Amino acid sequence: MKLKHKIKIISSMAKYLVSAGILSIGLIAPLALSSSANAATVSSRSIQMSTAAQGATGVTYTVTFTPSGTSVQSLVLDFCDSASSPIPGATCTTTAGVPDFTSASVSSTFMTSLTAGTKGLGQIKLAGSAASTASTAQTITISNVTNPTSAAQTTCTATNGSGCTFYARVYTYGNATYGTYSSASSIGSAVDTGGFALATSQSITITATVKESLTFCASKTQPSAGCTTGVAAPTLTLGHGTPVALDSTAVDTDTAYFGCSTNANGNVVVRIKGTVPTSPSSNTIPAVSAGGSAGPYSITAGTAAFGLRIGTVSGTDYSASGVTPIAKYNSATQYSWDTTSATNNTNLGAGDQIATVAPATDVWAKINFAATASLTTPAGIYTASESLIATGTF
Amino acid sequence: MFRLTLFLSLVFLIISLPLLKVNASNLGSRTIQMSSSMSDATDVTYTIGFTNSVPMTIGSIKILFCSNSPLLSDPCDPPVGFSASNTMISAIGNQGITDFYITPAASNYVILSRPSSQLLTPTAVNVILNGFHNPSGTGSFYARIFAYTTTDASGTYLDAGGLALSTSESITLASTVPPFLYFCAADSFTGYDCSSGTAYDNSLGVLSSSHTNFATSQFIIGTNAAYGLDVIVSGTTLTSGNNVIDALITPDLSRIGVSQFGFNLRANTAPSVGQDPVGPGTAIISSDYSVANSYKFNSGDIIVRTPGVVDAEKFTSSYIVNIGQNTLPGFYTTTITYICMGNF
Repeated sequence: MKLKHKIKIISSMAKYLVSAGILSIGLIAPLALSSSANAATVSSRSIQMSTAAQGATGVTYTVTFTPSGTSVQSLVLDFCDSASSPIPGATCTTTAGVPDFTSASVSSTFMTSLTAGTKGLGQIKLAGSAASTASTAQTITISNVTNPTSAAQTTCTATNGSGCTFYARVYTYGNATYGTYSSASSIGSAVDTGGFALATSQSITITATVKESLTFCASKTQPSAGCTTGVAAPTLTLGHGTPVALDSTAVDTDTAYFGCSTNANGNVVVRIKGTVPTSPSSNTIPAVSAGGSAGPYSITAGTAAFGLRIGTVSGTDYSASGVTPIAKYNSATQYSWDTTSATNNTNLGAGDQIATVAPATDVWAKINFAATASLTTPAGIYTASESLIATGTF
Repeated sequence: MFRLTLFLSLVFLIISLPLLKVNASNLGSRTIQMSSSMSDATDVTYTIGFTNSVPMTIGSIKILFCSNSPLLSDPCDPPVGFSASNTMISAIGNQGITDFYITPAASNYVILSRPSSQLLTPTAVNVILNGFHNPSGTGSFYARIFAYTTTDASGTYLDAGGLALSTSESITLASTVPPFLYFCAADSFTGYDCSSGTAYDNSLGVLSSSHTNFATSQFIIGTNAAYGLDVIVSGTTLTSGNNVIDALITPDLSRIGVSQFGFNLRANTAPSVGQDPVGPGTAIISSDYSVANSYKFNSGDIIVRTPGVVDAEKFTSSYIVNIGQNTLPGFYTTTITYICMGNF
């Protein structure tokens, strides 16, 4: 029965160790292994690592335990690799696969003025100026520790926690000089001992890729975000009266919209190019102000002209954010149709920029087209086709 | 206890997740500017642009067009209707790398090859390619730009990046300009506004054989009639019952003491009356009515003519009346009608 009970206990311990290893964190393994000689066992012991990442630097190890009823004044923490064990006094390999305390510093609720003695790979010695209070839970904070590297723990993978394990042992002594401690396997006259199991883990790298996106539409009505709804064929008519006609008595207008959603970090340039209204006989309604590039310009009834503008009221003429109209098109009353710039509105150029769109999900702008005829504008049906071009820079 | 350990482990695991990481390409500022965004448009120019943020030995560039995704890891579905098969490099306007030539292009990709691989320090590259056929539908499509050391886009690419493009409907504008004839007559107008016309009767005063009486009226014309317009004067000379003042059937000067009634459309000095036509229009006054100090009245005469469209032009008719000593007394009147005919 005793043998079975012991096997059960060890099995339970193993479960803790395996779970801790697989889930890649450093936790206490509540091993109840005996120490050497007549030493008692510290209880409620744990070592909490601020990060379990392999090779992490600046790590804080928080060591907690409750000593037995005997006061102590110094302690030794030994760390052993995954091939070793947490059993005090057993063989302990500290040359690789263990944390490095060379640059560590210490603070403590344990013993008065606890200071670090020897520090190095796999070991730190701590001594106080006075004896501790017995049987009181104690916490020692060891900062600036370097975790075992992945090179030292080559078997440590996300699915194989066993290679990530390493062990710690604590030995306490009644004097300030670590009793007769000699080495991890020769601990001398320790007051209390205890073993710990810890584990590092590989850092989990999560990669997320965001597709470059550009959704753009032209519509007679204001489109919704992403141009999913509210899109109508942008067929416009300039004129007034019945039947609708363009003459010299008025400046006639009609509107269309563009909608844009993008994540282009270099913004989207919206250009427009096409023709001025042209009849089958190749008569035209000319660009306002002879196609000047320094607009906006006024269109006066009776002076044949064609142009476009985006208004000036954010939220009404264009979306409250994400769009910036270009100056020559940004007017409440005046228009431009640039035929003179290098990048102009004619089909011969790349198109003239009318707005800039910043990364946003719901950007829109209302484009107001206007035209008037003069007395000499030849009769006919005038049409124009304007192409809105959105170019994102990613 | 085991479950508690598992739970704590998971919590720690979640807390320890590093921040999200996004892949970055060294082909920055990637852009493709289309000369037309119309769906199904042909012979479209695509200006390919990118900047290599680190030095690269570049032998070729491949631009792959896909309908489904810009991600390099995704399969590429060619955009429907899209074609890069007839693309050519523009002879001018290229920047950064100017020695590219096109390896025979496929339907949805273009390979820009160089004679040899050469180191390219961080440079803004712009390559203008003509001859694309846009996708047949509207909406987003994507491009992936790959840089290779090899000159034929073989092997492992040095770097790559995606971008998004979009086709959209064109805005169609339509307007009808009707045939129109702008014409009005009155004593006077402000500017060329027919609605400002005032009064349609004009008193020449008390006639005398010792001086010339005169008066004016105005008319405005304008038309988009392709073959212009004619303005015809119609009416009678001044009459009082059976008594008449002789109309100037042929142009003549104003002669005091001679029975005359006539008019012209010029600024005159004898007498000082009238003004020359004003306005942007360029109509032609018939010669008989176009000489200062020479007057005529012949009902049915064409007094103004234009061969084509004419902008607004305002004419002033200057009427003169002379009577002889034997002109019988009476109240002499006439009604002059101006008729404008557009020749559409």
